[in-house]
Amino acid sequence: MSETKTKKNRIQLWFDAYNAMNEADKKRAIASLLLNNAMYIIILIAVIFIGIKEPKYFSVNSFVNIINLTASKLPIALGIAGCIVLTGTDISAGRMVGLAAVIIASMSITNNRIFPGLEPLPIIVPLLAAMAACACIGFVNGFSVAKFKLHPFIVTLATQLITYGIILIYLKLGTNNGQTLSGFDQTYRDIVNGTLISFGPSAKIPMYVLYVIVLVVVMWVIWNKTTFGKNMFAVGSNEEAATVSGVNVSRTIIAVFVLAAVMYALTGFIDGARIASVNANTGLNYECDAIAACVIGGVSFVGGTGRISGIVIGVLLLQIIFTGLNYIAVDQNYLYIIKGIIILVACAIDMRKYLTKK
Amino acid sequence: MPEQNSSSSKTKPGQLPQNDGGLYKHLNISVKMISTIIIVGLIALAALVVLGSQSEGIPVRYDSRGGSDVEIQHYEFLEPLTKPEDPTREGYHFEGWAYDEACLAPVEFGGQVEQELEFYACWQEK
Amino acid sequence: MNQETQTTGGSNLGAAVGMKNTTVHDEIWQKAHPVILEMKEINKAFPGVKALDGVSLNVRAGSVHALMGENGAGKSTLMKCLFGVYNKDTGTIVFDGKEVNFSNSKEALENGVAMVHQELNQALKRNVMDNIWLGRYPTRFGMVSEAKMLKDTKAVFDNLEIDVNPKTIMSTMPVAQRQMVEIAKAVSFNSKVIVFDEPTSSLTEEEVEHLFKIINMLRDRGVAIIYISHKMDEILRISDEITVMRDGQWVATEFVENMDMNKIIKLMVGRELTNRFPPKTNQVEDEISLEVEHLSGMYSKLHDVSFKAHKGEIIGVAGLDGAGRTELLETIFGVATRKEGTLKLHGHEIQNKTPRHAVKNGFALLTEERRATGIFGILDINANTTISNLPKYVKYGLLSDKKMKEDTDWSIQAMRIKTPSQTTKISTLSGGNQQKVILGRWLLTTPEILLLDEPTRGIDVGAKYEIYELISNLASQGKTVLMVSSEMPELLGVCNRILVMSGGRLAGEVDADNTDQEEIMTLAAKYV
Repeated sequence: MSETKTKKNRIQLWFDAYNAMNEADKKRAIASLLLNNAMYIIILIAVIFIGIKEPKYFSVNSFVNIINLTASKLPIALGIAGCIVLTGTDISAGRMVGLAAVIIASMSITNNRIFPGLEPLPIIVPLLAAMAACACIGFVNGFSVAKFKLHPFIVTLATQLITYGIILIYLKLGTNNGQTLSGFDQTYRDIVNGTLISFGPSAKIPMYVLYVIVLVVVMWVIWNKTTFGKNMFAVGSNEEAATVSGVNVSRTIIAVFVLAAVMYALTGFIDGARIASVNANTGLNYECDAIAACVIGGVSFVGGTGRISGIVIGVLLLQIIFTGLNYIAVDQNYLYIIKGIIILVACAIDMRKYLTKK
Repeated sequence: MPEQNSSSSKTKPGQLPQNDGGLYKHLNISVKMISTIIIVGLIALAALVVLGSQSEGIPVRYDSRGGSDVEIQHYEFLEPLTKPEDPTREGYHFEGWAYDEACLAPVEFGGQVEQELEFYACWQEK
Repeated sequence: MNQETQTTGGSNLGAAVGMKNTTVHDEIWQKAHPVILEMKEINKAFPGVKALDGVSLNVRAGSVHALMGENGAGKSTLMKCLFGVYNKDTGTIVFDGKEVNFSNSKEALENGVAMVHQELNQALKRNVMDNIWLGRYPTRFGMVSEAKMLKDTKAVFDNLEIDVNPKTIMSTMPVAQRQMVEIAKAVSFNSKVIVFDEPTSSLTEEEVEHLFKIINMLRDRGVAIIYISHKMDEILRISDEITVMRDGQWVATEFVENMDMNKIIKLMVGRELTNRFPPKTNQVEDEISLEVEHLSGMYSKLHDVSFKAHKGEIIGVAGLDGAGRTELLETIFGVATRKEGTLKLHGHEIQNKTPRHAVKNGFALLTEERRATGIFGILDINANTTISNLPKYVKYGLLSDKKMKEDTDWSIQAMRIKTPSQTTKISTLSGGNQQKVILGRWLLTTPEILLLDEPTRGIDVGAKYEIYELISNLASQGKTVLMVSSEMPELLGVCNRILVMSGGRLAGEVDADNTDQEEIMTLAAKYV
């Protein structure tokens, strides 16, 4: 409640300040406002443009698709956001998603080649195994960042390679020989991908959307209502101040990375059932989308700032734009370049807000 | 001189002191420069979207691997995938399409196309 | 606002800022205020340096104990030993009757020993109460209880008569209020000893009054306060006891009534300083070198500043912290963006859009933050001297070592830099010598206009004199010097003319020989 109040005040304050300005300053203030919100404006323009070109973009089918994909990408973004709040990042996220998906798949496919003869286990077992495996890598990340004071970029670059190696070796176990895993147990698929709400033959909202909503609520509580969450923001804002105030900085950093890793495992859990086939490239480059979504959603690299609502909005906006680009059939190779530029521009806009103006 | 700005020795709201800038601590760029970069980036984005959009739609390629050629299909986003005419190959029997060359993940036609795809033909010696 | 009072003629200033502490420190008072913190024979050595040599300090409950000394006298080392940042080599610390040995600030804080740092160490993007309860959030059922935090914060603020909304984000508050929050945090730990490290260096006069009110309130409640400051008038006004340190040694501890400024300076420096400033030998020529017209900053509050500077003139820029002094220099030099106004050098308009333009046009800027923006710590003196001028040494596409050596030698001699050799790392030199190296670096670019921002900050009294002499010599060679300083006696003693800034504007211009600190202070408060 107080949040909306301060927001209103901010808008009012802006108008008050604006009215007090002279002509030149007014122009500058408007330019500044436009630039600071450039990402939202360009997305809005793109949505209108695509909608006119491809009216199907505004169909139920399309909305459902956007919501489903947003939900599937939220857990990884929620995890990575914690690392960004600590002024770090995590580029091992995508590979960890892959590892989790591979582990879960290896224990829940019929006709198992990795563990020949193994019947699909109750889904909680592979899920916990995947979480544990990711948590271990998350711990290595967090420990190295907290104790060696290495930049997370370097640490997670290393663990990303390590994780990839583990995935490749794991896929060679048994008689699998590195091949794609498919043919999932129907119970697992139903639990994750079963229909929650249906809007027609090809427009259904699956169960995992519900799980992700619960996850968002849980993360909101962790971020805003627990000592760990507040410590995380304090460490991200000023590590030294947190240290002298008696916050266990190392433990906080490690916990953030482990929590993030668990989120990646959940992403892998959802993705396995959603895509229905898992291989060594599952999860590749997921972290790029997640980081871009966080920056667009106001989780700034400046550290110590960010809201769960911002992350949800960021992931949603990014999904809206990418679904739109799919509708106008933009070449996949161009999509990589577009994603890269979106990250750079989002960072530039973010920096502009925090720039010490001279 | 007119009285205008009374908050003299106060840090301006939103202005971050240098020790608290996180990754942006060492930022050394003028506002003008960064504004230009943002605008250039946005223009590049728009150009790429226009350049990259294919008029025909999302391509789905079929690799018949020795069999008769199967034409590329173009789909709209989320359009259901339809099976093309089966290719033929002398001395072989066509088994179906798969995502991988080892024919381990067979294609289920009827699903929605979300991205570019490439399928491989699976052959069984007669 | 950093007014160090001159040895002579500083008496009326004490009255301007406030009265001397009038408490009578007789035996009854001493009995009522027992020693609560006792540091005995503290020794601490760093490789090659004896930082603390048997220093003792006794602080009484319910009193303000001032700790004074020049930079490098060992004040901060002593405090760092108390808070466990450094491990003392020998010596004991007795607090509240028990020997203690804190291993970190947190432990000290929990035991009731707190410190309000000069550079406030806060999580600026969080709100006030998050900062106060950081590291010990009250929880209910595993969740942080915001309601309890708010209640407790309000209680502490009411208690201290601080008027701050506990939900304000720290970065949106002025420094003074952030400092109040830090004090409230110390109080919320029920601290029995609170150390204030240069607390007034960035406060306005009004804010200092409020701070003193709070300090007095804390003292009356029995809190022992250690007050570290350079400002004599403040110390004489607020403290009960004064301890002076010099070169890592204890020099004297006296009750305030037995001290005066001359005595303190004498104790601090170890000799009497009669001539703190060299004679003003520079000749101000009629020729106008720099003309600044209607200068306004794009993003700073610098507004409509105009002045003319003559050849061979030393112009001081006075004002409170945040009055736009640094911004004025930065805008002239092209570091900060100019919104309006023109610059003229010898009657020709120049642009100075970037620092590189400015250097080409014959300007040089000595920055305030020497460590951060001035020196290359791990490079040697030669590299530090020639870095701004490398194109000059290029011969056949390569740098000529010989020329660089010659110039560095010239700089070492001309600046009287005390160094064993050119290849000494600059970080091993003292602050004064570092400053001279940087000054030498800029002189090699043969500037006409020298912009000096706090050229003597953090430099010993002795070394200051040499810097003053250098400045005076430069002006005698026909250069124009624009010098920002927070130390008014310095401006009065060195400059020919003083521009007083206030609230981003030029509040007035005074002739340095016919003015006093009071006139400058009045002008400095004009647009506050």
